[in-house]
Amino acid sequence: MRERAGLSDPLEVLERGEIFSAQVRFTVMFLLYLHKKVGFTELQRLLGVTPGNLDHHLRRLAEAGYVKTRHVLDWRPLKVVEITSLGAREFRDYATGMRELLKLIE
Amino acid sequence: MEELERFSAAIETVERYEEYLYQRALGLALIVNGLVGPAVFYLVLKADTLSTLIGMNPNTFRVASTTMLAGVGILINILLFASARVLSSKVSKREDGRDVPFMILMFCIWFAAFFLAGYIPEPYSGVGWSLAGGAASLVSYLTISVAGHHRRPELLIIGLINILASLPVLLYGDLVEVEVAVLTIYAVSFVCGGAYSTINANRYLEAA
Repeated sequence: MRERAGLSDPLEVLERGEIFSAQVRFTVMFLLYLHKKVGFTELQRLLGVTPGNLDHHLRRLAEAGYVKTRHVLDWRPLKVVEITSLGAREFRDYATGMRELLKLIE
Repeated sequence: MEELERFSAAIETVERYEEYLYQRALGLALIVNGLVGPAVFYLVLKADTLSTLIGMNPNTFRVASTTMLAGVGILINILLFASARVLSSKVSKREDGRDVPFMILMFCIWFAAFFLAGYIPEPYSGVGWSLAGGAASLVSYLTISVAGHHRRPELLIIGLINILASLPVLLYGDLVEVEVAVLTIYAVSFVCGGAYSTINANRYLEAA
């Protein structure tokens, strides 16, 4: 079994977490890590980005298998973004690695 | 320290999202309560007439209808706040009147207002309930503002509508059915407060 990243080599975690280096992707993952799923329109307005820009970032995260989008029928059709279990694990490892790294710097 | 800035920006976004969820749930809860609460009291008031219309025993009608409506109201409230994840807010510091001692203070204000309303003499007792609700809303609004928490203008709206709309009923009580007028005032004030809160929630979504 792979050793839990972030505890042995924080630098490796940072390398692997390169995908989270963009502010938009990091915030999307942070939000989804805490709230599991968020509407596409809400995300777009929260981040202050255009739909195309957000879509680009979400595609990068989806290609890595960290998020998935699906359409749901509420009182109006909604596009919802969800975090996958892989995404949650990777983000947790990345955040832990960051914390370790910051401790080393201190 | 770029990473720290990234974390701070993300935390600020999550806080705004949680506030948005809370405001929206609060708004919808006010609307639901503004409709269900007066409806329950109306059914109790008019149980005799309504039960005759559908050929039912008045007591059975009273119990069945109020239990059903109150149940639906409670269920919707639970669903709304559970969906807002208010009880498991992740990063909000709960400095905006949602902390337990403050909630207890709010409960005391409302309890005191309605307790005192019970002592209002008979010709004015009906209007006393809406005046009490209005006064409690205004005192709650002022307490929240003075305590330095997030202001809750929906309370101001509810308070003002209750008090201002009660005055004509107080003056011309003999021209209208006071109980129905008071229930209508309640419904209108809560629906207006809820609508304000729901619409206002969107402002938390906008990036600074």
